[in-house]
Amino acid sequence: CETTPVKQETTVWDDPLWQKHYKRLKTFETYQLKGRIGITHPEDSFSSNFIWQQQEPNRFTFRMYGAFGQTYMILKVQPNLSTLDTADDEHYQGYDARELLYGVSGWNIPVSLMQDWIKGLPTGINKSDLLINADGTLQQIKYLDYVVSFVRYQDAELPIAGNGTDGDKTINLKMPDKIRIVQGPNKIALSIRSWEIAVSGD
Amino acid sequence: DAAHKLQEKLQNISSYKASFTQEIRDEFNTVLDSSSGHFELQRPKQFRWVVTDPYEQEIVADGKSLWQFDRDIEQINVSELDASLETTPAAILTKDQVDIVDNYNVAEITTSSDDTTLFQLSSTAEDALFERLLMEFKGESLIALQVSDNLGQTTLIEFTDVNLAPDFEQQHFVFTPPEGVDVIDNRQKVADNAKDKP
Repeated sequence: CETTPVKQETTVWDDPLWQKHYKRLKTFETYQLKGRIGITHPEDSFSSNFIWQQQEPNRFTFRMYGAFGQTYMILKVQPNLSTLDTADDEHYQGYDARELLYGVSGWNIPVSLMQDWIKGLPTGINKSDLLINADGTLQQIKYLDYVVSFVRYQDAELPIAGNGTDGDKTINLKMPDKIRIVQGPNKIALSIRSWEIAVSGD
Repeated sequence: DAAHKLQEKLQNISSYKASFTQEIRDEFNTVLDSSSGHFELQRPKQFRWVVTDPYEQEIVADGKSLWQFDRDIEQINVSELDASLETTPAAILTKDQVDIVDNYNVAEITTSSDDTTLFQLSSTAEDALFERLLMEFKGESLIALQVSDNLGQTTLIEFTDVNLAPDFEQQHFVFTPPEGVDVIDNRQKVADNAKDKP
């Protein structure tokens, strides 16, 4: 069976490898990822496919759908307004995406915080208690009552806008492939199978 | 009429085995997800839907419960079969006496080739979770299913190397959870709630 990868030695915030990785993660804000999400709450558990399409900070679409393709829900998040369309063709709106989703579906998914976590970024600067891997990637975040563990990484291609002559190049970037988010009795498991990162505008 | 014709076709599928490819498109027809695997069915309420690529997932209906095992997220959800079946188009295939006639409007769509028949189903139930279901048969073999849900997402499932009426051994649709994976059992929760009801 799958042995969980052995935990790496940890390093500090100023470690050059982490700083380089952190800065690279900050260069892109438009991306899409596909994967599986498993939600385990005391009174409910659920697993589903998901697609996360991030247009820019605080503007993304989170789509959950079943094994046979049926849409469970589409959550569209923008600053100060989120909309939620559900399988039974109902339409909901709300100020805060997590509360809207929780109110309608009963699932407690911290989607706004996840914007950073799914990239392997902490929430803000020294707001979270971090463990940083020696290879310059995040191992764990403790933020509020959440514990976010980055179980595995995969190489994704980050396109770098070419300077006109030699066209666009890409570099490899380690992106999270398996993430566990625990908040008290609530557990969320994310398994990400594909990362598509767009060239950033600058 | 079309409903009875479809009911007859479904009724003589007592067991079924095929490989499948599945492609899901959003309301703008962009491909969201494509996967492949194999599907085995033993009517009335037993099937195995095994996705092998690009992720590993197994959905097993053992006649009483529905087991969903996701290897990547190391999670097994098990729920009452009847409760969960209603939410999937697969329900059409697994019902024992297929009550197509009274639950669906069925139309037969003429196709170019003469040995394929195409049925379009829309559910008469108000809260149906799919807007339209197309079922394509080549002779007696079901070769494709296309489901469009209320939010414009369509799923095309195509079956190949179809084996009509395979015989499965006794234990084939029994699901035994692998070691070290937490099983989340939603069944007795349903039973518990039932108990509290006055």
